[in-house]
Amino acid sequence: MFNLFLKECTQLGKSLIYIVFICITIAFYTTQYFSDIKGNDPRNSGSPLIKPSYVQDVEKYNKENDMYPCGSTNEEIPEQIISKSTLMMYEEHMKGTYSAYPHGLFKNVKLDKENTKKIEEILCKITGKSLIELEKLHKNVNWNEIHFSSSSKDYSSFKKLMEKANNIIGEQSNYSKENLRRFGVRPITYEEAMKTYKDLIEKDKITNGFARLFCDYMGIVMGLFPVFVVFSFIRKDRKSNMKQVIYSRRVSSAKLILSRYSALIIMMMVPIFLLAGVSTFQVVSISEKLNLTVDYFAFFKYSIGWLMPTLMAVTAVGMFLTLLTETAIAIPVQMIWWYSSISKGVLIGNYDLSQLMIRFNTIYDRDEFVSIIYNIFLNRMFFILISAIFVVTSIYILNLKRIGRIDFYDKYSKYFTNFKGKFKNSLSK
Amino acid sequence: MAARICEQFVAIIGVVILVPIFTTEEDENIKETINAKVISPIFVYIIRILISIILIVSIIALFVNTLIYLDGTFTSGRLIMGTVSSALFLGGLGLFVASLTQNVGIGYMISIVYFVFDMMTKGKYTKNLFLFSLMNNSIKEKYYLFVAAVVLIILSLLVYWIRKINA
Repeated sequence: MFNLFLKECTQLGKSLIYIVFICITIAFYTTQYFSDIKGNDPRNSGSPLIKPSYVQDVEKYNKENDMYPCGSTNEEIPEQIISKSTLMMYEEHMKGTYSAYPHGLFKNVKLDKENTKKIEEILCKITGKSLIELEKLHKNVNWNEIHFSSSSKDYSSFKKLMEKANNIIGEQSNYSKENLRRFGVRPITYEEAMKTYKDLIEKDKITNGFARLFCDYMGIVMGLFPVFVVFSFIRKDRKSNMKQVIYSRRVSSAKLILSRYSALIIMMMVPIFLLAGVSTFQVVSISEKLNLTVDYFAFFKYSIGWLMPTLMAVTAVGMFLTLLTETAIAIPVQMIWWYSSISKGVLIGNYDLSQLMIRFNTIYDRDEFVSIIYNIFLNRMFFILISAIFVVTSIYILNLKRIGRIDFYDKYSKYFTNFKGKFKNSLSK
Repeated sequence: MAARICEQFVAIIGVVILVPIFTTEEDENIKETINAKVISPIFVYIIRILISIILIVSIIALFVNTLIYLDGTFTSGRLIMGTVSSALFLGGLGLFVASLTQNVGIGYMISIVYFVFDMMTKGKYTKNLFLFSLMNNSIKEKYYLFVAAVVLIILSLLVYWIRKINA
């Protein structure tokens, strides 16, 4: 079996498509991950590897530099949210179009007269002013003069009104519950910045955080491109007329499939491991200058635990479909699967079982990661299970094919010839 | 919004329809039989390509008109032309690579790679061959794409022809 595995590995290593696959992986790595982590160089001022500095007067700093010393974050601050969101709503109302983001897609919503009137009512109710008064305030850039009372009771009624507006405009408008939060901005405190820094440097040992970002980007590659390699590799038997020769050999189907499957997995993990090595080297060279300790195996651990299940599932499903139909059907299937997984647009914290690739587009947020690690584990286990099921089915299918019980391709090419014959007959009549 | 749907979903139809045109002749036995016939295979390919192009155009036109029927508000000609250019370019690229490498898998792969890269880098590297220019309300790129598509399709036929002569 091991001999067979080695043979498959060399076969795959020599094939053109495998080389193209490696090139794509490297290109993706440099354009996505590598260009993203460039900003982390400690020579840059905002680098996460540098200890945040303490600034006494945050507001003064903000006025001088037009930014907060440790950055800013969104928080539910009623005064800010009420004022900014009503301003936004008023401007959208004047423009006549409202933005919404259903399913992560941008949509310009135009409302009919009746609904526009409803929005006007909501605006008047929240601000306590008439439309003419609002127009005056807006012209003179005196929006802040509107007296919004922000007691908790008012805020809850404001939220209800906004929910109403959201229902009128449609799914995921600027006024939906989640999006309202974005109107509130506050500076990140020194303590928080310090915690983020300590989480990354001490708990994550730098590389763990970077490895999550690495897996986030490389997962996009692993969720789609292996299927091309699998398709070409499995189809090769047919192309070079080796099908009958292999089918009649004494070696068992299980051995054939398992050696081929493991060869595919191991060979396609090779570029990932190489890039993981490069990334580790990179981080080590940066951190040595700053005298920080680094976890040398983080990239490899994450690659195996996080990326390999994706690769396994894609390979198993691709192999199964190609074996069964001997057509390129696996490619569109994989594209749809990949697209449906990636188009949800959630960059962090989506890990339900339909999620082929797990995204975690940040090197921070260790707490968030620790809190969902169990769900990620479940998700990964699910995909390993799926790949096992498809591998076993592939073995079964190959067995049936070898004894001549199914030949999907012949069957439906025959169907087409019949179809042609029927067509001709009907024409000659 | 309509531009986004057309460019990011419908344009893929070009890959699905145009790339596998030479696949049947990947089998050496079939290829030998076909090459020995009086009618030049290039002629057959041209017919196949034309049929595919007609198919692509009509599917896209049908789709866009369905959108308009469902209360879409945009100019259909621009959208159809833009989507067709993107689809033909993707298909032509795949077809060219497939005929060059004699491996349809690589053909599919390259055109999808182009698509995904362009989507991720937003035309940073592809400049005038940016696939999703309609989303930025620019149609200039579409002319380049269309010309490139025609060139790629002709080149792929040329590759096949040269290989046949040398064989």
